[in-house]
Amino acid sequence: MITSFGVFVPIIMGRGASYRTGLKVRELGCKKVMVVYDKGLKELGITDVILDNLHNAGVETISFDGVVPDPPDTIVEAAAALAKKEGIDGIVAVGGGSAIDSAKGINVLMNNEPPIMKYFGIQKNLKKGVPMVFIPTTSGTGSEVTNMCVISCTSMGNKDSVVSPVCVGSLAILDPELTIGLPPKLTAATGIDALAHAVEAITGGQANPLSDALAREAIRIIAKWLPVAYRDGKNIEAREYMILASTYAGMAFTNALVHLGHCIAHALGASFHIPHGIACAVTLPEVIEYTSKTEFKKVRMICECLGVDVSEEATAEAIGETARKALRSLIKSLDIPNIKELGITLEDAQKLAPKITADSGMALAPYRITTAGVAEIIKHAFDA
Amino acid sequence: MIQVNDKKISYVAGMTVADAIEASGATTSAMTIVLVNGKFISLDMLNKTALKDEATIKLLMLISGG
Amino acid sequence: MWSKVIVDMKNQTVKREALEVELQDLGGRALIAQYLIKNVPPDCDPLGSENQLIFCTTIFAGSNLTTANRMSVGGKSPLTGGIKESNVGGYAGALLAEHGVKLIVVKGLPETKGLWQLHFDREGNVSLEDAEGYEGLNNYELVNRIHKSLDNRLATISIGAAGERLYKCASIQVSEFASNHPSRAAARGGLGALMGSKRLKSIIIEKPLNKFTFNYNDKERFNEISKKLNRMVAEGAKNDPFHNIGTIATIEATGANGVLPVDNFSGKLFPKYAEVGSGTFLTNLSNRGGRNKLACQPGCAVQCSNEYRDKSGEYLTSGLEYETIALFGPNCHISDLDAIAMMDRMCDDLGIDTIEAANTMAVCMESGVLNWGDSDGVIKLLKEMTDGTEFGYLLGGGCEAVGKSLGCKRIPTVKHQAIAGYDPRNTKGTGVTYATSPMGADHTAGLTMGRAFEDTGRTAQAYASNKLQVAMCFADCMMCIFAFSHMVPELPLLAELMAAMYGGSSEYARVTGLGVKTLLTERAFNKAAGLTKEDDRLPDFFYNEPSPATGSRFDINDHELDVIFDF
Repeated sequence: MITSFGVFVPIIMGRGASYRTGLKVRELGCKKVMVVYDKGLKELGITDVILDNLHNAGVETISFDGVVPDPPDTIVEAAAALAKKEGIDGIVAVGGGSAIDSAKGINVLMNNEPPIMKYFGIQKNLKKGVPMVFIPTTSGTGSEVTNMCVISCTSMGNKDSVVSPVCVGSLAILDPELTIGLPPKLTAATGIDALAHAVEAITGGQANPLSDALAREAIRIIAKWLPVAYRDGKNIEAREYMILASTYAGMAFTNALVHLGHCIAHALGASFHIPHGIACAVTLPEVIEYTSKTEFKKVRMICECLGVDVSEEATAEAIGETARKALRSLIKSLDIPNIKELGITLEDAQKLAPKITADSGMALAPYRITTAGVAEIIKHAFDA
Repeated sequence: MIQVNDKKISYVAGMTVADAIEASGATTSAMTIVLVNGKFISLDMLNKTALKDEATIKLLMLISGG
Repeated sequence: MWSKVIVDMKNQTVKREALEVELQDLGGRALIAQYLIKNVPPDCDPLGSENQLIFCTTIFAGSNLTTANRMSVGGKSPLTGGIKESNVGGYAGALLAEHGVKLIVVKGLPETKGLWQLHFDREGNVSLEDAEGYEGLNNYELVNRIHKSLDNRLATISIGAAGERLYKCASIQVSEFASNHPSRAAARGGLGALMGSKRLKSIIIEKPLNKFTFNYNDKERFNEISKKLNRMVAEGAKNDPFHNIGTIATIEATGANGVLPVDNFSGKLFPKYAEVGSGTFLTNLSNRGGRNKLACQPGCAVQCSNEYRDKSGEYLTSGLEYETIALFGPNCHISDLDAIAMMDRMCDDLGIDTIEAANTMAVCMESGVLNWGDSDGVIKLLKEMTDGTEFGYLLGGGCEAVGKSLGCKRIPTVKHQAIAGYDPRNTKGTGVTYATSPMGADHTAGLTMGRAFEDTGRTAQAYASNKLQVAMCFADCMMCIFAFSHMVPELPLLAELMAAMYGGSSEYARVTGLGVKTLLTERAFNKAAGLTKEDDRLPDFFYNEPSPATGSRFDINDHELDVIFDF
């Protein structure tokens, strides 16, 4: 099969890398940038350091600190209006996926008329925006290296995404020290999000050898270091590995895309308002077991990366089962709740099956699965 | 004046079909078919075909197969 | 209430009665599937007495919804051995609706020698008449004579000599609105042979003096919605290449990206594709007095049809379409549009499917019977088919029969039916449709080109094929898919339209359910007819040979194909 790997964002990484923000932004030719973050990050003292750093490099800044989880279109549109009014020539986003996706949404609107909902879907002909620099403070979304942003549409009451070169950053700065303060629960939830990106990317129809290599390495790192970072947030080595793993997984999935697990996660997230990483985790083992029917070679790789043995003669079904058990045990070790423990009834969760099979993300699943099949997956995962 | 589908743009001397399409804010893809005054112009000729004032450009999108 | 007409060829009786209640609100492909599964044994001999040939109008026939007067023809296919619904434009659907007829069933075989025509006269009577005088006539001459014999506006449904000779590539030709040329074809699946086996030469539908009026559940609401949809189609048609040029415009996309079939689906590019493209076509039309933007049925807002003339300005053919041009053209290494138009005319006249015939010619070239690009040779072989020589009869058996007989290794067929004008390696979703459609290789069942992520990638191909196969299936119950494609943002309105016409639910699920149920019924018929999973595959060479244009092979795995209709 001929495949492609086309989305690539330059990266600088390492402890203290965020101190280079000012230099790098200046190198990009920016004189006045909008810095996008949420208020919580300011309280942690992270943004002031970066703002200072930019000012010392002679870069003017406009702050937009209104980032909220699942960024709504209205906020993005308001920020974009401000950005245009201020005549900015660059955007710096500091934070998790919400900050980075907000920045991307703003960039989409820099030279394309609002509302942003007009641009949901794959966009090949949007007008270019301004250079963007992304500085993640969590190790999960991988948004710093992807070509898409997820925006909540307030009028339609759903989430959709813009997929476009306009969403691709000019630079990602990976500084593990910025993730030190991430509490254990968030560390686990964001880390599992990265794992979901990796295992879904490797089993999706768009997978390719480069994305597979990145995904395998991400899975290996997460299996080894996520439990460490969860138990001991101050372990800088674990934080270094995790920010790398989430970036690897982001690179893998922006090229290879994710499928059924994310469709389930989006439906669960929208109905029960549970964090994205947790929503990804609850059925992930069953989703990977399902893919094994056709993608057993890839699922065998997942098993190897998780450090479990699979015999040479194992059937596709046996490989799928092994992967399911190994993934479940990793998720359990992070105290991530199952659907039952989240306080959702089986009936309510299964009611989402038609919505899940109707999700356009199902286009990326390796083969067709019925509503009954999805309900079966939810049932298996319910109190697993 | 040049007509590009429903839009009117001003004519600039030496303008090619590609220039006019760009000026109108429209874009083309592999599934676009371009007619200039009813004459078919292949995509690779858009930037080599000069326009006269008052030309009508139609950008047609293939949406299904024949 | 819609009526049905039952023609029993055994004793040449004709009966008109009310259509069953459960079939009233069906039409087109859905009606054919439901009728056949109940009334035709799937394992019957397609040319034997148990098979039935059915003609029907669409759900919205007779209404003011644009293109609602397409007509479907069905039966067990002599070519595929499975269920077949072949739909066609032209004037017949509109006039059947004016007679209040939704369904014509032709069953049994005559026990005596003879040839007949079914005649709906202006008074609204329907009768079977002797047509022995028309024996052996081809469509253009036949239609000409029919018009001479009757002084009224009328539509014809007819077979040429090919149907009478039971060629498995035989089509049923329908006359175009206004021009009366027998150039619209229910071409696929050899239904012309089924009509020939019944010894039914033609159906003549005169415009009735008294037009049937259907009793709408809510006429006002119907008109309100149809007006809105018609406006969408008219608006969309403005920038639709099919309206502005014709379906030939498709070649501009397929020729550039390796989707256009070249040299018997070699997967190569054809450097001269522009010579058989939009530029040549439009120039020839305007220089010779030809025309495009013609409606094949009354009230069509898309108007994709055309009239093509030869160098001397004489009428050559009409409804010259992309498939015909792609398959007789680049797929036979031919770049002479006039020669292709002549081939199209010969096929319409003899009454054969241009897709099947053109693929047959390519297989002849592959096997060395003809040289690549030999357009005179193709015309000579079509002449042999017309004359009914021994080799002509073999050619009439279709691409697969000819390929096997000539020892050809690369035969582009699925379920014994030749592939249409899209290389399945370079639009893989279309390949999934070819492989899995109950109809056999058929582009109208779900052409995904430009709709999946990458036409040559694996991602979302089966997904896109599934979605489109359902949509095309219900579209084929209602209208022309070219008009349908302009309604996509408002498809739920089709359910409201059904409710306004027939009553019942106005939920969109009624429409999508129609598509799903029809596909599953067709699958059930095929299964009972003996078709298996192995019939849902493309020929090996698409899996094994990379397309030199892109390096792509057909690599959708079998399981994806097997579960595509798991709903």
